[in-house]
Amino acid sequence: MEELKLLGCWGSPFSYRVLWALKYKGVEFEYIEEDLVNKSQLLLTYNPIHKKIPVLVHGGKPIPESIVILEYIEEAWPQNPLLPQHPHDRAAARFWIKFGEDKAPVFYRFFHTAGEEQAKATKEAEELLRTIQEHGLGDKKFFGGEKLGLADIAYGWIACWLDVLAEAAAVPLLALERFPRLQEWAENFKQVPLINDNLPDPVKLLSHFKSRRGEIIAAPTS
Amino acid sequence: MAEAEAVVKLLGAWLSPYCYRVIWALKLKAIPYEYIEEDLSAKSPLLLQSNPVHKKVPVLIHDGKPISESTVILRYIEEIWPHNPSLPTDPYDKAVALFWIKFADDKSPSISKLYRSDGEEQQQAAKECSEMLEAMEEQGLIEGKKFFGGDEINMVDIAFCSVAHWLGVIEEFAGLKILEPHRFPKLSSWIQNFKSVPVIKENLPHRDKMIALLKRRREVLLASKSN
Repeated sequence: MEELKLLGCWGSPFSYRVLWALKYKGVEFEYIEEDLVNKSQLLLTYNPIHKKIPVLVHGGKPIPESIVILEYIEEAWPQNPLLPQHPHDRAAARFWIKFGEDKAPVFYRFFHTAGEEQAKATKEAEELLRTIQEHGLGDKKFFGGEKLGLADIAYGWIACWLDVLAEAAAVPLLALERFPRLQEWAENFKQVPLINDNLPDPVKLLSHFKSRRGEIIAAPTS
Repeated sequence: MAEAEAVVKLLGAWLSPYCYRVIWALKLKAIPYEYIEEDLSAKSPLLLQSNPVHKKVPVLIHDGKPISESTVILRYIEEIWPHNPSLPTDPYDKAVALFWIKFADDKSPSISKLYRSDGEEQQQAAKECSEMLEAMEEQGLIEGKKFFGGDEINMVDIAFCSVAHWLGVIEEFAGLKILEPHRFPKLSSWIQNFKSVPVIKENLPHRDKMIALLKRRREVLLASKSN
């Protein structure tokens, strides 16, 4: 098989999306941890436009953007399919994946702000989570129904990062327990065997994001 | 005999580049459809029901089932009607195409910001547009290739519709010049080639009509900002 590498970051939900998809497909790869403060020449060469992780490199050919990578993985390794068969159901999965992606900056704003701005950002984040819960997930076990799919992997940040970020930024309104159906989904998600074996360390994550939050608050505002 | 209900309906708005993406995709595959013009200031119950999350156009309704978000619709059309393919079959080439389609989606809103803002905000939008064009010129377009899709247009070309037509009209309206031919020779060629494709050429909103509407919209937006 051709050489497969993943340039990622241990604390990044975007990086984990790709890791989970590769593990779920049972594909062997080399993981390279990137230092985002001192970006490697490799990263800058492989993702010259955005200069971000994750980047998947297959046989020397780079693919940046986590959701583009997810679709590539699905296509290149069709075993253990992560997208439904019917085009209409695939469209629904892609709609929700895009929704999460487009709204990510809005969502993460609560972590990067304070005071009144944070209160406004928190309210917006709350509304987004409700929309995802009511319209995206609904009564289903996973976003696509009974089985894990790409949309679940794309929303993995809710299962592992939401509580961490909410606690680090002292925003109890965004604790997962306030979204019971999402909380139930998160439990189901984390119990999928190949996901369960590859979860980020919550203690390490909390410590990291608490210190990130400290930096954000301490930074002088322009 | 009762008229059969159209199997494919498209809810759209004549000014929206996102709607044209879908129109072109349907026409390139010769898929018959019924077009329904939406009044975005008084959205129809059908639109609100079909796209409850965003309440936006375009929405494709196929056999009674709605699909929203133009790039999701394009992927759907491609899967249901695979003839005249608009994406490469090789997985890596397809990933590169999807990367550029996402880039077009993420960066295109800066174009409409040009007419929706003034002062510093407009300058920021102009900077973002310029960066988008630079990336397209330097990394996206390949010397000697007529289109992103090679000899024929594909989904990537269609995704960059705002750059091909809307940007020029908005620049003219706002008195800006970002897409200078000497700075962006490949892009300028691409735009000419793209707009010469018959399906595109015959299905573009008219410049004068666009400018009149942009003018009205800008007045309303700037007035509400100062209140």
